[in-house]
Amino acid sequence: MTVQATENRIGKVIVVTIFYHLSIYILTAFSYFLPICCFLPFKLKWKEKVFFFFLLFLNVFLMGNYLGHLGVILLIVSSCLYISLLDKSYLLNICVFIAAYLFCVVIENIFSLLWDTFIFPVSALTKSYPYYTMYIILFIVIEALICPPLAKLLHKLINKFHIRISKRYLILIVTNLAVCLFIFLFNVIIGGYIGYNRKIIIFDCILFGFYFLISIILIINIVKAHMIKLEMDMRQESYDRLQDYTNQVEHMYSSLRSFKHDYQNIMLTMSGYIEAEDMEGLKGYFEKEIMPLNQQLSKSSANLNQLMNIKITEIKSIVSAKLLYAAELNINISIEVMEEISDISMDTVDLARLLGIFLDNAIEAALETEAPTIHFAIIHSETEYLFMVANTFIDREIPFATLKQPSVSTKGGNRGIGLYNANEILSQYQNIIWDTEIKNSCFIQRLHITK
Amino acid sequence: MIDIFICEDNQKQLDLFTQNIRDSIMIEELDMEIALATTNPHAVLDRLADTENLGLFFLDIDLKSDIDGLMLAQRIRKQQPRCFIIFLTSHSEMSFLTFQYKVEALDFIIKDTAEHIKYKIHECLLDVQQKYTSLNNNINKTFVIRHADKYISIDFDDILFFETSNNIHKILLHAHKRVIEFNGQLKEIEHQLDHRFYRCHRSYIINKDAIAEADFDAMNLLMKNGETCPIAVRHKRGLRKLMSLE
Repeated sequence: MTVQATENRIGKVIVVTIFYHLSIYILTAFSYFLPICCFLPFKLKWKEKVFFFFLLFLNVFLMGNYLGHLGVILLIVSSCLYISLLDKSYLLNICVFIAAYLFCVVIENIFSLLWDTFIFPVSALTKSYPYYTMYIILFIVIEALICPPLAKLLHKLINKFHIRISKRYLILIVTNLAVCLFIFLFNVIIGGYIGYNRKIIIFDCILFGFYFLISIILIINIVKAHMIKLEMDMRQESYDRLQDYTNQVEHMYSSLRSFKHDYQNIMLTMSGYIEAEDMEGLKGYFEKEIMPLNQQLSKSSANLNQLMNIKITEIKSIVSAKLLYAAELNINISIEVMEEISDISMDTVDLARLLGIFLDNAIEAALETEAPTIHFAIIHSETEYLFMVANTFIDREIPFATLKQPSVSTKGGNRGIGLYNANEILSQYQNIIWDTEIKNSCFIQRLHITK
Repeated sequence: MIDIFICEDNQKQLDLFTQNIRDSIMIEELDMEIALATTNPHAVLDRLADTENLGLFFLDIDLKSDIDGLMLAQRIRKQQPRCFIIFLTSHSEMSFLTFQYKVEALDFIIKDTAEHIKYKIHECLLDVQQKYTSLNNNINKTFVIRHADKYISIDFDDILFFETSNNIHKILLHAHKRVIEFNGQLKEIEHQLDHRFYRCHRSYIINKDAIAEADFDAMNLLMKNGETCPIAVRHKRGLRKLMSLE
């Protein structure tokens, strides 16, 4: 009887211990899972979330039972691998993951310091299950409060800079974070051998806080400098392009002058025919000499001068450069900018890049057709601006939606980054309707931008 | 019956257009009548006030008056939202896209050779006649994307499916040969649609008439343009039911 009771009690104790352990592992895994899910720049699908959580749980379990602090390395490597498999911009994702992990660490250190000071000694924590669970739950609650707003901020920043930062800088940032991580791991593993006490935690905390802070400041400065350089390059480029435009306008003007000069001669010749009453000769002269001249004039000058209505230098320069280039390639261009276009509720650099992408695509697609034509229009109404690029093209029946994915293009092969980038740019704006249409064998891109 | 209005500041050209239009109506026996041919744009507006028939307007752009063709067209459009407007223009004034956007101009007739003008007028009249009959026969339901005071409307028949975009708060409308990305929520869109549309997934609303093939094993739909939409498990039965009703 008594033996059975003790056995029962032992069984109960075992069950309870297992339950405690399990709940602690799950909670610990969740405390990693939450901030990482928040910070990652793409949304995990339901299945991916479950798998990722399981991965974390497995790692935490291994760490608790077999590997000890060495398990952190496995945790990081496996998570990095999984995350980089999920999404295409893996460098960025790894970067965010490491940052999120480091963030966790810093927060946890601060938290444990506070806990240690005010509630319960951390060194005795693992021996007291109720306190330990409370500790983790409280930690998760704090994370849940801090992470979402911070993540929102981070996503905004990423959206703003991601497209413009080159791969080199991203690698730099990843390396920096990785080094930071390495130092931390080193610290933890060594610390694991020595045994944690309060002093080490404080030391860790300060060291880490500083290193993290300094690297963040450094990275921000580097990115800033990079952005400034990019902007300068852009300015220079748009200046160069405007130079082309000016040259073209000057050329047009001089051809107009030569026409004026011709005009005198034409009048003289015509009056000669009329005086001699040579109607046949006059008719012949008119058809042979004057008609072609008229056509030539209307063809070259009627179009480009409308660009003068664009008062935003960046836009004018890119549009004029691309359209002049198109004209050089013997593409028929028609330009409609009837009203003055000044301030637009969109970053002009973004808009210039968008128009550049659309016009590049238009030129490339138009060139494949027999009578290449590009229509460009900016239309201004009371409430919106409409930007429109239409071009002739050969319909290969590619489903539309796939065009916006990277490396899918009507041009085939290793290209098509253009529309993907356009999509990335447009994702930042809520006041734009993007309308893509095929009509009468024309490919039409329209952007409605609300004022 | 369609009333035709012609406004052109050059008397000679006005006569030419009037004659061409009259000839075409005679030849094709169209249900149209020239209501007014004038050089004065204000006369058009005055005459328009007391007609009840749908109008077809041939307007010159440079009218040598206090209003130009575009302004005239805008005023006409205000009075008769569904009328047909065709512009008469020389090459240099050509800005088709702008005019199409601002007053929904139907077409342009370029003043070059007399033969071409005649041919083009004939074409335009036939086009208008055809549009007029189809206008009366079936009024298609349309989906309207409002955007400030402008709107884009697409026939329900033309829509394949709606999808939430990867970009937050945005919806992708997939139509035959057209994709539009705009701000919105599927929930609100659902209310604007009719019975042929079905929410087959959290982020998809499909037009059942646009389904080419339904694969209930792989749980996706192949649409008529070759794109695929997923089916959510809990909407499978509803979708089956909807499709078997056809």
